[in-house]
Amino acid sequence: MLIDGFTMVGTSINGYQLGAEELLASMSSNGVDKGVIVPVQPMTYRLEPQNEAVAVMQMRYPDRFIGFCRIDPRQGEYAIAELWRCVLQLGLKGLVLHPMEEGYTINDAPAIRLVREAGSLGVPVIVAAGYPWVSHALQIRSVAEQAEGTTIIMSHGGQINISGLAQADAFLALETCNSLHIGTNGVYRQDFLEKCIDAFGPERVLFTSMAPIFHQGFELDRVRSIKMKESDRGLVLGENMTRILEDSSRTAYEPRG
Amino acid sequence: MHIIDSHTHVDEYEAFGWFDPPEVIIELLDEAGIEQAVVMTYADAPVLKSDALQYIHDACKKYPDRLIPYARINPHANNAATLLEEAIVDLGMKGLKIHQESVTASAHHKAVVSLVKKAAVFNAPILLHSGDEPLSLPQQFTRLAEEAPEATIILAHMGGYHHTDDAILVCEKYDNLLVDTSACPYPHKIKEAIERLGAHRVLFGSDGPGCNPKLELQKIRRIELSEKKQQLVLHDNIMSILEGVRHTAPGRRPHCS
Repeated sequence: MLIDGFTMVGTSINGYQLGAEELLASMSSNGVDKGVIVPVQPMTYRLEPQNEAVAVMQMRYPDRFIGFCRIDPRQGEYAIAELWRCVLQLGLKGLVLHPMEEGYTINDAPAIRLVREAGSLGVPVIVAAGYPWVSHALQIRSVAEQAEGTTIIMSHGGQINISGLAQADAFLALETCNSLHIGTNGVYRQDFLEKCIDAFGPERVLFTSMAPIFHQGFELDRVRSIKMKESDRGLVLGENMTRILEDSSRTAYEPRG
Repeated sequence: MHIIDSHTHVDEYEAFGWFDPPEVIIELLDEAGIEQAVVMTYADAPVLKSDALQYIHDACKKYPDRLIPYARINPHANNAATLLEEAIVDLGMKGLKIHQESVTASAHHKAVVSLVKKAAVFNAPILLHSGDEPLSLPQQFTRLAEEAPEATIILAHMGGYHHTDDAILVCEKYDNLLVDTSACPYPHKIKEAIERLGAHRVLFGSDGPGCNPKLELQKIRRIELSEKKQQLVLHDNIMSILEGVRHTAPGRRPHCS
């Protein structure tokens, strides 16, 4: 089962777009069985209808799409309520935080509270990671330390730096916090991924394309170019995401009444 | 098709934790079907690595048909210009590499401008880092392009993750600026650069061994260029630049080749 752990659907205010049918075509041409789909930040600044649209796509293509919600934690109580609605009513399987596009810092108190809440609901959290000032790896580690038990996946290998200067921080975050994982999209130097797999095991690395910002087919090429045991490659390509979602469903919060 | 990778590294540098003797890149070039590669150290001569130029010279002597040497020099060094002249005239090196983050100077710093102009005396190309870091922003290249219009200046990485558009923009404005494709995570942006700048101003580079040359080559294959444009990007552009390098200096005879 080949799973792309992070794609974004809709028309973004940031100038990119990807429709469900277009994503399905890309998945089919690249041999991707399932994709985690996440809302974009729309022109309206309103994420709730986007979360609903993702839920509809998940219902329509249950064998192809795994829906995650996207929430702005600065909305406080409203953000918590939206997370509950998305997980318990809409059936979405995880939470995505994009501090860069929404404009907050990942280890601000409201974000930490929302990540904790996701943990108590038993769903994983993907963080658009590596953006200086708002979501670098050690800021995310700080969140993980304060939201023990929540599975967190950092996109971009936890670092966005084309000199490799942020890799030491991402490595340190993984080394010191077992609940952190990394997605593979756009990672500078494949040997960083190889080093992480050697040090922390293939269970901590997941294939993510972050399409349409990155090219799904080329991001799959990236994972296939990693020098690793062939028997472990399946973990990165989908089994890790399957395991994380199964663990979530086992620990999921039971709604009262 | 004969392919030249215009941006790779050979070095064993403990401070960065990157140990890549020449055999590492040779093996990866073989895997990718790439005949030749421009190589440079990770560390700058003479500040971080006093024998960096000799190291790269020895590596290229070991594989004379495969590796093409660039001198990576810190422009702040008192003897930077002398080292560059010796590297080109005595050691037969073909170009200059400056990594602005490593030497703490932006592209328009007077020490950088001075050394770039020195390289231009030999008609040698200058490969500068470009990306999202504070000293590597593409817009910083405009002053350098104006002050050294005679120099052939290559923006490595095409502006990194979030300054790709800026990299293309400044190259549109200044004819003496070119881009290399190394580690650029967006195949569609490489295609756009070729459309806007012309295939003659885009050079294939991998930034191997950390970035796998085979994967980097796959990026070029994915954008489906005409054979003529592929030939330019993968070989002819860098070859014609290298052929233009003069290994003589007024009043000075080379010590050895």
